[in-house]
Amino acid sequence: MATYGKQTYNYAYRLTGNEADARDLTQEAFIRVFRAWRSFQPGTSFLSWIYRIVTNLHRDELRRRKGVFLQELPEDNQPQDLPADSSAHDPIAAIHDRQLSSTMEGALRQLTADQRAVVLLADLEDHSYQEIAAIMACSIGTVRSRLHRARMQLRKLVPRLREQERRQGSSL
Amino acid sequence: MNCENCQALLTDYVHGEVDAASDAAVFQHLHGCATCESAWQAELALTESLRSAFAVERDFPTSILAGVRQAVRAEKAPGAMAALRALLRPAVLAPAAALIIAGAGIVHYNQAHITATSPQLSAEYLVRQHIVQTGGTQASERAWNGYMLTTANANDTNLGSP
Repeated sequence: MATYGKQTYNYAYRLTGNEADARDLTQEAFIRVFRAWRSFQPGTSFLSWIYRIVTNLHRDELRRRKGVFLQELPEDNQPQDLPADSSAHDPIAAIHDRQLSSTMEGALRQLTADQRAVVLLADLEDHSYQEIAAIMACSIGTVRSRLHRARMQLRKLVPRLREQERRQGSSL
Repeated sequence: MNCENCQALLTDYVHGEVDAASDAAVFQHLHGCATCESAWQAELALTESLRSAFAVERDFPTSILAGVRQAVRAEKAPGAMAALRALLRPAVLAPAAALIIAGAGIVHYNQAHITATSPQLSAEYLVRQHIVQTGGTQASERAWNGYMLTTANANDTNLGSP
């Protein structure tokens, strides 16, 4: 749990966009892991198995909440524990990083849950299409089309959100 | 390869998900086409932006660990009760009851059989004891021969011989 906990929590955080839901999702995922421990097939990726559970739980939760998972990020959304060699020592770079993070999170939130999961798994977790297909229980073709659509949307959304933030920043 | 085909493959190309032949064709096309090269740079920039935006990893909250432990412990206790309930199901109880009844029947039959045969055993025992105690006298020999004759007659009667 110590080995995979951090990665799972970070995936859940990126998927949900907030700490409270990420914590609940991760906790429930590990409880399911303990319950279904015997069904894990040795030789397969344990992390992919947990990611699959997290993705399914997130999907179920979205369905339960009728598509409304999160509308706003909490105050503590921004990264607080920056590593020593990061831009934390450079206030301008830190502001830029926060703006970038906020823009990307905003853009990701406008994708569907499945599109967001595919983007996170492909671009941040470096999973292959085959692994993503196994995690999301769909075909490689579906992974490909979801990723294409998601990235096309992000390419349109990111400049628009950046422009909005720039306008809001200059008006203050 | 034309620009349309090349741009359709760019996302897969960036993620290393095109076959060797297509990879070589895209690579070649990108070096000769400024438009597609720009589209490829945009794909790379998007991936880079995503990675930078989420570069900071959050620490694993210890409260999750405690929550999982608590939930697993809570599930273990009713587990014993569930196992007991599973044992008391009719599907398990019926064959067990049948076995017990059959076992009781066998024990009862054996006891009845032993009781029925015990007088014969007792008679033989008493005669033998009598021979031993009388030390092989004529009286004891007569008693033994008489006993053997009675037993042989009884056996013949049981077997239905004339």
